[in-house]
Amino acid sequence: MSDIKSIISKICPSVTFEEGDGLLVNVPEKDWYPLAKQLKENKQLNFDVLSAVVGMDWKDSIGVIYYLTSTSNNWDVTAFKVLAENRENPTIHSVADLWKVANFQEREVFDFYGIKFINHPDMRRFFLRNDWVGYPSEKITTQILSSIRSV
Amino acid sequence: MTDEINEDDTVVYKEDEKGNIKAVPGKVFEKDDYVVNIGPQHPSTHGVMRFRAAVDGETVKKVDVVSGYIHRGIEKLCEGLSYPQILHFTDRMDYMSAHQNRHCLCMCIEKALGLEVPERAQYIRTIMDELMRISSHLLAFGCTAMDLGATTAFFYGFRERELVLDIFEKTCGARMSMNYNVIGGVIADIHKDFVKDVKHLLEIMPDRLKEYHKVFSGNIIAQNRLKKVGYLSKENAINYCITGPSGRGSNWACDCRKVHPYAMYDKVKFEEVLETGCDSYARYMVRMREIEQSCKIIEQLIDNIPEGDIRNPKVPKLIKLPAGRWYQQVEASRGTFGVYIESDGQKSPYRVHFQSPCFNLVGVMDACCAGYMIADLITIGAALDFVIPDIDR
Repeated sequence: MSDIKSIISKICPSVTFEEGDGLLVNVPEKDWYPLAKQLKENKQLNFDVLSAVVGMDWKDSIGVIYYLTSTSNNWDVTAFKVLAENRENPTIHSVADLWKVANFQEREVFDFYGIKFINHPDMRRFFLRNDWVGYPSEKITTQILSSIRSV
Repeated sequence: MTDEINEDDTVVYKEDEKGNIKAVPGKVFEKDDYVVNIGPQHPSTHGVMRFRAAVDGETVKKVDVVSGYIHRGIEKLCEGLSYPQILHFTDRMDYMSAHQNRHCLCMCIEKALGLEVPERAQYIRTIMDELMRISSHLLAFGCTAMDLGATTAFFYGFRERELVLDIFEKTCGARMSMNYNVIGGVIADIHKDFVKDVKHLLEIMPDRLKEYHKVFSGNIIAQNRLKKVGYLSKENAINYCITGPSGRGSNWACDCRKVHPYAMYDKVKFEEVLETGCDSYARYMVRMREIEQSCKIIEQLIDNIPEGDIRNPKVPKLIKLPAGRWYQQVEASRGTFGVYIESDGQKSPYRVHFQSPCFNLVGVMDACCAGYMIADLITIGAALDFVIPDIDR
């Protein structure tokens, strides 16, 4: 475990670590894409499997938790938490070009949480109709309600 | 009708050097593409699901997945219910892996509470998981056959599946949506006929498998339709996170029961089935061989179910998870199923996310089908074996 920590903080010194059920790495949004590229391509880390993308709304902040693991190293599933910088109009850099599974996963997060993924090749809704107003999984629904009323 | 959003419209958000984000509109298909609509109601989609396929003659160029016809918002519903109340949703996602899914959610909650599960319950859970896997793979066999027009083989698969469902009915009281696992154990003890019925199933399965291979696997039409169709390399399987029998058909050793053993899986001997074909036939053969392995696992457990509690007696009446986050994975019938729970210490979860294997399976349809015939889209879908309620959670 300490291995992962030292390698990751060498690549990206601005990360912080949280212990819990497995390791959680807090990554600033501006460093997320370069770090993700290294996580996948660095031979020591080799995080080649993106097992889950979880959209999250913590009311005062909104973001995504990426669960990564490796086929060659016996790492436990490691979480990377990325918060969008702007709560009102959240954006995060997409990793769909690194892990193709992120294509649909990030579309689902966009659909329910309204996080726009920069450089995602096809940023449409996934489950809901494309004329749906608002993002239903957001914890603060006042915005949605007011936007529905204005339609 | 001018303000209606066109289904072909998509958007890419680009960032310039100054950090300004600009929406660049685009199209899903090219201007001259001829797009064929398959679904939402189609006998081979095993649920309500729609594909839009751009075809050049009979060759598929691109597949666009339109999902959400039966989306129930399970994750959002969970945020307003208590932990025992959210368990039953898992039976209704991939209903062919009801036991494994529910096992996963129970394990995640037990991990958060630090609850021990009695050994008897662990044995029962493992046996039930494997029975579920047998029934799921039998359905996959039957449906693959039926999608190719082989109706007889479909009934062969269903004949044995009935035996598994009978076992479930006696012990769990239901043939589908069993609601059997609960936090800390299982809800009811096994029926008095359980051991006898399971042994009967184990006894007849080897012969029945031979029968399936004779009637379908060796069939020249089946082989022509499945072999060298829907190629998915190991690199792509990993990149698209295609787990379960479909990933193992591309020679990726991704079995969660081996990588992170849970319940009784570290105490039993079984082989992780791998095939190197990377095509629809390899995926089909992995399923058939996994039925043998599931039987082997059950054989090792069925005579040794220990006496004791079926549920931990110390499970609190009111279940509140401490603040924190947990992630748990199990091997469901179609791949690695994951549950993410975040709690803020209340009686209902702050956020629950179900990472379903079929969501990833349908994501690979475009990569698998491109370059093959439009008729192959059906067999590729059948061999990937996705279940729609698992995608539309």
